[in-house]
This record gives sequence, structure tokens and C-alpha cells, in this order.
Amino acid sequence: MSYTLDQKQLDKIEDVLKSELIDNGVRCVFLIDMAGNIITNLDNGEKQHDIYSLAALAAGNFGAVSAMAKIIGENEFSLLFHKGKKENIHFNKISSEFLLITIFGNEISLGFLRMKVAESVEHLKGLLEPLSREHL
Amino acid sequence: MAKSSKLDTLTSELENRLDELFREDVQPVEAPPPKSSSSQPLAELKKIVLSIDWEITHEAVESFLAQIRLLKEVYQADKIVTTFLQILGSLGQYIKSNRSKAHPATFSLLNSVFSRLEEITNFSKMPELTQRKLLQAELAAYQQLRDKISQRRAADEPKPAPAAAEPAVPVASPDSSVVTAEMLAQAMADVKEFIRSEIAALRRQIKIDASR
Amino acid sequence: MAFVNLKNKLIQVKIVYYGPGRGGKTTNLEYINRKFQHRINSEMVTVKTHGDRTLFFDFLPFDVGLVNGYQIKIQLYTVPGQVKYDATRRLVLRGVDGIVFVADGMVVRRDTNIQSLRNLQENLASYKKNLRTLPWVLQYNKMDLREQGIPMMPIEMLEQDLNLEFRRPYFPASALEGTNVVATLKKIITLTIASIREELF
Repeated sequence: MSYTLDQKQLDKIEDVLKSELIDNGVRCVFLIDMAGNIITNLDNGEKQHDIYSLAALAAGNFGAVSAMAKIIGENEFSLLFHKGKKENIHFNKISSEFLLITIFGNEISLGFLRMKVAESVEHLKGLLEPLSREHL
Repeated sequence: MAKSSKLDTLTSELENRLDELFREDVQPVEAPPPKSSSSQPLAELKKIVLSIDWEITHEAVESFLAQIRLLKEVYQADKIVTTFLQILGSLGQYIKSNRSKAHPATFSLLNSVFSRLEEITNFSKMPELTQRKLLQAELAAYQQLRDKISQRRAADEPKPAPAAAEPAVPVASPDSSVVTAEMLAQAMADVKEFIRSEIAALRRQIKIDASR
Repeated sequence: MAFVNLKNKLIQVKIVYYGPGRGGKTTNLEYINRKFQHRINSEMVTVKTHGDRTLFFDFLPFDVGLVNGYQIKIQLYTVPGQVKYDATRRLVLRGVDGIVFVADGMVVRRDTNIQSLRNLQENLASYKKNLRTLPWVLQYNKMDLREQGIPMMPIEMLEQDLNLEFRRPYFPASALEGTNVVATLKKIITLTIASIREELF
């Protein structure tokens, strides 16, 4: 069992991520599925991370936190964000299958980032919706 | 006799231990420095600024603007503080009108302007010259942001119809950009006028001091 | 679930090493990591306890290279084997494409092997998956201990306990020494890619 995305779909996705996030100062953004596969990733050219490991850990992290939410009686948490001295990382669920992970520095406020991510997610939901349906 | 003396020893030892354990701290706790009355009005604004840092909601932005209006009345006699508030108000209005299209640097500027304002109001003994310097620095940053916004607007192609391609964002007034530019221009005009008069006053003062 | 990127011609596939605690799952990955250092670009990610037991998972991405015009990237994961980490195991199993069940060949571990396999079936069921349709293989590990005189399960008995209804490929192995580690990996990769082949080519 597998799912696919073609060039056109991926180009559209990358356009959204570039214009909404990278062009607004986000360092690195990657879109992954809950298994830890990377759908696409973009960065501002400054630093190259080990994105495959990041993706695996991000999916695991998000999964673990979601499980914790259920245990404490929450459906899900509205914010999953880790603050570092220079770099920060933010997670956002796009649907039950996909996650948007952004890495950004301190020149972007969290509030602004959350606003931009929310907007991006609206765009991406439409592009990824057919896949989510397939998964079920 | 021996037993009772042992008991005495035990009791006294216990009492000593308890005394030690529950001994009151001899050093007097320093009373916190009394807050100057002007820092109280800023407390609410500070809460809002911090919350905007985490999440930009419509309610937070409205509260922010309402608070600025209130503080302008409180500080109407203080020109420097009023100018700071005007800058904050202008930034708030820009965020309200543009939401996610706002320039990312807006928020760090908001934080720094607020921090300077807080410094000035908390430290009542700050010389006016220092206050003006802080204000000028923030004004310069404000001007820079304005330039960045203009550049960005010039670089963007004029979009004929905003509605269709835009995502479902709550506030989307088609005239928002016009309103913002006007308002910024007005705020800048006010601010510039104030600066001109203050610099003139400063020059006069320097001349007076030099001639002494 | 395997993801095929038609733009970059890249296939990502998730293979999970499952089994009882201290059975050799992590050792398998460590051997693969050492042996194929020249091919593996990234560090193996391990989330371990102080006692060196897998806490969350081990992760090792493995590039198979170009096959029929597609870059195939295998993501190898292990799960924590200790009983208390069941929720974590379930998480790691999400989107799994192929499984290596690493059984502990020691006689004393017979019951834990059976329990672990049962646990695997339960966790797969939560994703509406099952061992009848999923690509998977068995590894009967720690065979090197036989030489040290430690009582080991005969292969027939392991087969009876674990593989009777499934009849999947199995490999007597020693993850520590590397015996059949690569063979196990090759087999599971082949089976897994084969299972998604129809949708690709």
C-alpha cells in the first residue's frame, strides 16, 4: 500500500510553503506524514539539517504528545512548540495524516508564525485532502 | 531520678532541635521597592503585548488598541510617552488591518517599543535627554519598518481581485491597504511634528547651556 | 504507508524491527549501521534509557539506490521491547510497510516471544493491519549462544510457536556477530517493495 503525489501537486505545495513561510523568514519547513515520511521540505539556504532524522523524531514526538493529550482527556493540544536559545520548532497538524514542521529563529514572533502557519494549512488541506480520504 | 534526668535531656534536646527547626529568620526581608504609580497602568498593556507574542487574535489586537487609547488619556501631559503610545497604536492598527500580511518585523518592533516605554515609565528619574534618545531610536526603527513595508508593497504585483485566491482569513477588507497607509502617514506626521519641536527646544537649551 | 514522490522519483518505505525486550532489534540496526557506514549518510538516531535500552525508537535511514528509475529510501526503525512501552510501540508502528520480528532464541524467552508476537498483532489491528497481509519475516536471534552452552530453542519449535499459521521466511541469526542480519534485511526490503510494486510500475 502506498500513496503518491505528482509533480504538479508537489509544486503547488512547495509554492505555498515558500511564499507563506520561507519568504517570511522561516528557516526551514517540512511537510511529513505521521509515519515519518517526508513529503517535501524547503529551507532558506542557510543551514542544512538532517531532515530524515528530524522527520522521524517529529512524527514520533507529535504522536507521543497526541497520545498524552488523550490520556489527560484532551482531544488534542492546540500548540506544540519548542523554544531554543536561537532556533525554535513548531508543529502543526494538517489533517489526521500530515504534519507541518517549521524551524525559525527569534526574529519571527511565535504569534506571527502561528498566523502564517494557519494560513498555509488552509491552503495545504485542500491540496492534501484527496490523499487523506485514500488513507481511510 | 536518673530516668527523669534522661527524659529532661531528651526533652531539652528535642526542644533545641525544634527551636532550630522553627527559628524565625533574623534578617528582615527587604520590602519590595514601591512601584511608581505609572507602572500600574502599563501592567495591562504588558499582558496584552505578551499574549500577542504567543498568539495574534482579533480580541488581543482590539484589547491592545483599547488599552493604548486609555493610556493616551492617562499620559496626555507627557509628550514622550504619548509619542511612544502613538507608535504602538500605529503598529497595532497596521496589524489589525493587515493580519497575516503584516511585515514580520512589526512584532519585534512592537516588543522593543513597548520595552523602551516600560523602561521610561518605571524609572521616573530618567533624564529627559535619555528618554528622547530612546524615543529617537525607536522612531528610526519605525521609519525603517515603514520603508520595508513600502518596498514590499512596490515589489508585489498589484492584485486585481483579492477575494478568490486568498485563504479564508477572518478580516479581509479590500480597502485595508489604503487605510493603513493613511494612518501610518498621519501617525508619522504627528510624530515628526513632535520631534521637530522637541529638537528645536533641545537646540535652544544647548545654546543656553553653551553660552553660560 | 509508503510514500512515492513522483517529482523526485523517490520512494520512502518504513520497516520496523519488532520483538521482545533485549531480543536484538537494536543490535541488528547497529550492525547494519557499522557495516554500511559508507552508504549511510546520517547518524543512527537512538532514543535510549540510561541503561542503554531503547526508550522510544532507533532510526536508521538506508538508501538502496536507484531501482527502475526510482530512488528507494528505507527507513529502519526498532521499537522498545519492554512491556511497559506498549503505547510507544504502537506509535512507531504507524504507517509501517514491512516488519522484521526478532525473536530471542533462548529457551527462557519462549513465552516472551509468543507474547510479543501477540502484542504485535494487537497493535497492527489498531491500524487495521494484520500479519496475514503485511510483508514480514522472522529472525531467530542469538544463535551464537548455543556454542556457549546456553539452552536455545530448536528452530522447529520456534517455527511452531511463531510461524505456523503464517509460513513466512525465517532466518536463524546472530545480530551480535552479524550472521544473517543482512540476509534478513535484504529479504524484508524485497518483500516490502514487491508489495507496493504494482502501484508503482
